[in-house]
Amino acid sequence: MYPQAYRTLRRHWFYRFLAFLAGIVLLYAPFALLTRLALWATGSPLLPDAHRICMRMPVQWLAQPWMYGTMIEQPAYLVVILVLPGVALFAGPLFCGWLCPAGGLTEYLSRIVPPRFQLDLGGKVNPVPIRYGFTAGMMVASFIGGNVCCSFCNFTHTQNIISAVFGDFTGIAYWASFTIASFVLWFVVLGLFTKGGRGWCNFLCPAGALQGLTHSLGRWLRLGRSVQIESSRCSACKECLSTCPTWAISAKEDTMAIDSHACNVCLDCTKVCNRNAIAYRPNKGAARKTSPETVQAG
Amino acid sequence: MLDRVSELTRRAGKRLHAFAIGTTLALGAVLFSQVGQSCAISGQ
Repeated sequence: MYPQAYRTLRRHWFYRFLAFLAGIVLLYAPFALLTRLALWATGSPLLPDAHRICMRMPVQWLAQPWMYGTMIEQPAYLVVILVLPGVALFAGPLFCGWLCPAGGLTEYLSRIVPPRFQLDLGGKVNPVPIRYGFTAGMMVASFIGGNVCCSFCNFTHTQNIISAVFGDFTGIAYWASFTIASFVLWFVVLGLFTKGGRGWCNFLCPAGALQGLTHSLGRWLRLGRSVQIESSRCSACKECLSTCPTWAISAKEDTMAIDSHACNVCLDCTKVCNRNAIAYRPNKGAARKTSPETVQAG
Repeated sequence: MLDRVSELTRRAGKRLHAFAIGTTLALGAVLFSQVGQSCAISGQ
């Protein structure tokens, strides 16, 4: 990577880190400013923490019509199934790439681990169908009465870590149970020891799947913006591929492509391209199909 | 033409396989959520 590009990327990471801190302050106890605002607006007596604006339950509830009343009574849950996918339709999953504390925590910590110890799945595994399959399976299970335990969720683990940092260790007790397995999977295997640190997001996050779907729909309908490669400028140097934390960029011989189902609009790739071939552009006039097989560069 | 159909079928098969892996993972997570006392929050 060119020194100038690396400096630009470091500065970009700093801004993203500030957004990550803002995500913690907005969603996580002891701050949870956005959650407090939502609970205050609805007069709810519930405890303001990560569970009130949950990233998983509302997606499951889409398959449970009897839970629609709960969502209407507690509009904070609608953030996940209306606001975030709505934003993603026009601007991409900005929440995932910039604000999400659970995804950001493992991504930023994974940069401490030397790359030689990390799984490098970028360009080798397509996580998109697995994530859609996981979300679909979770919804089908919900429809027949099943549920994924809250303490298996990376959003809960992050809340437990942040609570412990501020002196509340009650959440740590859950890790003595089988939930330690999901913690190790999220934080260690798919986090610290996976290149990009977002293995959990890429394979298992239902909120990310919902946003990826609407982002792709927006691109197909030519609404809003998305990250695009200008093929005439691309030299296929693959710097973008090695930088992308969501493995959304793929290369096949001399061709490169961005999969909008996987892209979380972190914009890291736009900072490392020394030919300015990648940019966050309006979808108007872009190719409709965005799969790796159809968008070519270089 | 046949090659094209074959290639499309192969790609669709790979994606369907990956989708099935994801679905199986979800059902596994739901199953583990129902057994023992693993869920300390919801009490399931």
